[in-house]
Amino acid sequence: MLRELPGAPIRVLVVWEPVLATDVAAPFGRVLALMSDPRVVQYWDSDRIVSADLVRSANADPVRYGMVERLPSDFIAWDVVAVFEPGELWETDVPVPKYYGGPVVQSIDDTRAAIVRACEPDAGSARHAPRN
Amino acid sequence: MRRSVKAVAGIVGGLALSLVSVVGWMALAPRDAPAGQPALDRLHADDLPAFRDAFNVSPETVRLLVLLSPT
Repeated sequence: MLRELPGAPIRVLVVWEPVLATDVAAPFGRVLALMSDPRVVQYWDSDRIVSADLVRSANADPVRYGMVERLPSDFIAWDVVAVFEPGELWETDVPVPKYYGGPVVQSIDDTRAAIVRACEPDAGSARHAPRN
Repeated sequence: MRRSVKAVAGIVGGLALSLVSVVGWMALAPRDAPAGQPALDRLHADDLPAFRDAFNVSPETVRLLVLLSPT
């Protein structure tokens, strides 16, 4: 998918985490090679700290993230992709994504569309425009 | 009787050797990131601020966050 968007200002953080019984070690090189684009940074999150913080953020204000109910405290966020517009910063809570979906393999078309929208020149500018 | 004890010992030894081989392979197999990418970064319990910084380091870009299981 990233090959279809050469030169687009994209940064991808891929977090590999143990979820299945077979996830006993960090991914091998051939797995990391699935994400070969130089705009990608890959992590091995053995303690699932990223997932835990996403769940914490979502449960702190479910409505903000478009959810009706809180997630179970032991919920694991995985096989999911989220797209964030330029200008968004992760401070106390994760910013609200422009799009999120999963399983990843079924979300590629929607993810691509969200990236294209987010790359448009005025994407994110309304929220971050000076207030004069 | 002695023969069966030897057979069992051989099987157990073989299994132990296989287990050691698998564990060694799991520990030592290459985990090189593709060319052009930073090395695989291992997160620990207190690394969340550093991960947030990595997310925030290029706010002018569209950022994707992908969470996956390696298998």
